[in-house]
Amino acid sequence: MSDDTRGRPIEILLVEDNPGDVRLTIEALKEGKVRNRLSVARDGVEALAFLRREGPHAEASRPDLILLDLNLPKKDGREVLAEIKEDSSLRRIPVVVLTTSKAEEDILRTYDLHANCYITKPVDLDQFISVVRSIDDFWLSVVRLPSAE
Amino acid sequence: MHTLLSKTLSHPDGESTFRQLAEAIPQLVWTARPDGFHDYFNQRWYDYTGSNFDVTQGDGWRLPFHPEDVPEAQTRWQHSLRTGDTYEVEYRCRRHDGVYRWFLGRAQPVRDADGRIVKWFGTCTDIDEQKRVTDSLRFLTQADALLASSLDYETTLAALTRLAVPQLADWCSIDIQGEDGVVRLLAVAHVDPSKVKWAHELRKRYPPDPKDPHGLHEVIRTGRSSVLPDISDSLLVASCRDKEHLRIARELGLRSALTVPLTARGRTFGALALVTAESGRRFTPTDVVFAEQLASRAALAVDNARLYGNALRAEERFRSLVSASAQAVWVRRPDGLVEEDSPSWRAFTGQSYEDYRGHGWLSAIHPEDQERVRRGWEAARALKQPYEVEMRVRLPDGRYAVTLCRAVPLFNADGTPREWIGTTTDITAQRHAEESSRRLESEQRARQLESLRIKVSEVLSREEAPSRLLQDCAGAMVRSLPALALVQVWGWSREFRALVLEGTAGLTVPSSIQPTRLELGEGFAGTVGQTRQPLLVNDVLQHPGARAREWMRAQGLVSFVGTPLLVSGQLVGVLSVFGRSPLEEEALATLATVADAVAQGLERRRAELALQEHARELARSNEELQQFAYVASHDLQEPLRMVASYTQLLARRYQGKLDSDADEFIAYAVDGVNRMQRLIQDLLAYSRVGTRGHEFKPIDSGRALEKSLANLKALVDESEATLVQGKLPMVMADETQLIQLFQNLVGNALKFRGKTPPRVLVEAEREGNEWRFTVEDNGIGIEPQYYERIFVIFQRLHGKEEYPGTGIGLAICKKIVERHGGRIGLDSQPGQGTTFWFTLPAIPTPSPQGATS
Repeated sequence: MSDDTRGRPIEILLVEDNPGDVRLTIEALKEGKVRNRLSVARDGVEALAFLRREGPHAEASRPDLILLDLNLPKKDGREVLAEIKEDSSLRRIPVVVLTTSKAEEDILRTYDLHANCYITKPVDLDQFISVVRSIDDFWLSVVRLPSAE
Repeated sequence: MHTLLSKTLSHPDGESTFRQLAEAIPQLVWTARPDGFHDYFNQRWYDYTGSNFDVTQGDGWRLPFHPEDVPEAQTRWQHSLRTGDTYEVEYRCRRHDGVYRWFLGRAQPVRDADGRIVKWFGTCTDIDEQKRVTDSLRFLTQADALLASSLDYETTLAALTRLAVPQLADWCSIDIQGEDGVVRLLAVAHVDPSKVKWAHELRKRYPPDPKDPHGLHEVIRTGRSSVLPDISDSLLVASCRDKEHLRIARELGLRSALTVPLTARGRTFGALALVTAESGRRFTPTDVVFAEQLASRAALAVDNARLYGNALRAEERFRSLVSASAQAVWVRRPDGLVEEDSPSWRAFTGQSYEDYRGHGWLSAIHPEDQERVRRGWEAARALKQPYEVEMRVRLPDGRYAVTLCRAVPLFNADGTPREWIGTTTDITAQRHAEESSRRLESEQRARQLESLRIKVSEVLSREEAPSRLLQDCAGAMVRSLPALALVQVWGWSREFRALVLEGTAGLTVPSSIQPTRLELGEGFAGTVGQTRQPLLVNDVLQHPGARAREWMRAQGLVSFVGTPLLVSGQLVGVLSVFGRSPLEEEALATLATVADAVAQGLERRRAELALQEHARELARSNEELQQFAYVASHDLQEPLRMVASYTQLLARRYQGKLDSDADEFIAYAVDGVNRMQRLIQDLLAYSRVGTRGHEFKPIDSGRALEKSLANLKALVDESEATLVQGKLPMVMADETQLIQLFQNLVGNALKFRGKTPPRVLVEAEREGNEWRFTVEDNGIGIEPQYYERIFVIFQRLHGKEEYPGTGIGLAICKKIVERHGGRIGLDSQPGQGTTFWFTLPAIPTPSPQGATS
């Protein structure tokens, strides 16, 4: 696979309140192949405002991918996910849910919220990096990006 | 008449004219001087009395008077002479043949023109018929009253004989024909009580001849009366069977006899015999009519008793009445002394007449009953009221029979008691019957009580709050024991040091008067609680401990029974019961039994609840611990992830770019983080066994083992292990945990291997309701002293370099097995290998072998 076959970098929205995790994600994405631009929302309310381009986010670009942490202040990841999937204009954006445990994943599945995939946050950096890579692979080989409006 | 007499007597020829007149009228006529000297009697007087002028003039008029009637006549005559008042008296006057007839005597003074008395003019009118009719009516009224009284008919008949004497005859007897056709003498009365024994004697030795045309049997057979108006000595001689018979008959001095049938509703069952002797009376057709009237009334009363009374009992009594041994009839003087013999009493008790007379009858009564009988008798005498008493009477063989004794007073014309007549009836059989019915009743009560006990036990076995149970117990008691108007159960509260109302059933007590808490000693229940003794009160309103008297009065509550609820001497509560009628000691016993069940049940329930509470507490604290372990380990992962990620990032970016110390430091940090991570993950796994377990489902344990081996694939390959899997059953289990269990045990078997390649054998064997699994290896083995220790969390037997691990694996295994209701253990030979075993409940199926499809 060659480097970056597309002109436009992919827009990623990371919904994450933990700055350590934000930085780790940035670092991991640096090691990836895909050119990307990362926006960060610190909680669920901000994430939805960003997606709906409300208030300060009027100029926000529409993300190609959402990385969603479940444990968020104000509005937790489950609610955010539910709202995204109920909104016809946002429904098609792939959502990768980052969880801290297998158990959470189990619980989440019972909600049947149609997340596109679930990734357990590994403690091991190498694993995390390989997870982010797998997003790359997934991106390049599987997902046909819906055209941005 | 007065003026006529005055005129006649004051006329010169008056005297003779008067006498002509006096001889013409049908009455007995006499005259007397003002000083009372009788100077004339008409011929009728002489004809009637059979005397003459010489005898009767002056004071001789008194001679034909019945001795009993002389004083009264004398008193009145003297009074008239003193005052000039009209003289009037009723008396019996003897006819020439000795028969007394009732007369009305009257006399008026004849005065001269100055009003002085010159003569007394008297008449005697025969009023015998009238008087008899009046007396008969009075007598019949008296008899009716007696017959209508609630007395037994046998007593009534006995009393009847007393009534008939002496008004109707000098002696009287009643015979009754029993069911067996035998005619027996039931009662005899005689004006001369000493002669009664002759009558019995006569009857015993010379029973009435069934063929005698004037005899008893004939009267009973035909239902027609028989009269012997005049029993001549020749008739006696002819009818007596031997000299002795004649002697007794003469002793009795029989003059006239009348036997009338006792007939009711067309059935003649006895006869009333009336005999005159001393009085010299002859029975007339009037007497026959009267006697028949009396007899038919008596017979009807007897028959009514037989028909409408308890037919069976009447029949029985009737039989017992005629068998002398079960019944005695006797007579006492008003002073309570016995002078008249009673053959039936003698037969009943075996006392002789000498034993019996006077107060001797008392000695036949059981010593314990004597005082009571004496008191009852004295009271009845004082009140002149019929009395009834139950007493034990000694029989001839020395046994005591339970008897019912009844007596009624018979009165003289002036209302003074003449005598008492009574019956003593053996009611032993009746008592036996009553006792057996009582026994039946008590058996019934016992059964009822038993069912109540069962109900109470059933209620108390329910897993509900004690107050709810006690409420239901109270309800069950009210339903089972209708005598209880209000049942309350108080529980002893250790907390309040007081009795607390836990249950109440029956009457609704207004809350204004219903305390819900009682100090010891307060009120009835408090008293029971304080004394720890049962309490029976049958006049609650008078009791000092009573509360809410007005309400209790309004509700008609009279009795209280309280029983302490004790368990091995410790007060756990009080059972209180109120009734609307007096409760007996038996009620105490009943309630004591129930109270026992309630106390035991209550205590058991309380202990259960305490245990459950304890278990809940334990479970809660366990739960909290597990939650804590889970949350702690879960939340610890977050910062740990940061530490791990950034130390790794450091290693990644700067390994070999700083100095060797930095590399070493980074390596230690990474290693520490890794170990901490494993610990936390194991801890998380351990806490998840309890908190994140799944429902048990039928699981194929063989499949579970295969899945665990798949997880262990790397280790299996690396250690070149041989795995042997026996036939494994279906079990009820949480599959995830079963996989983990196998994984940990097989993992250990591979990890703690010796020099040779590991060989692991997994098998299962049915043992009763369980499967016993074994995981056998050929590893290094474990010393027996460590068997317990290795299942404790974080316990390790080996150095970390030798055998890495957190020491949680086996603790998790133990926890999983225990959660499934099984046990886990091991057998090991150090250096030879180890066999871990665990049990799991089998699926209850007819076939003991589980499928391994």
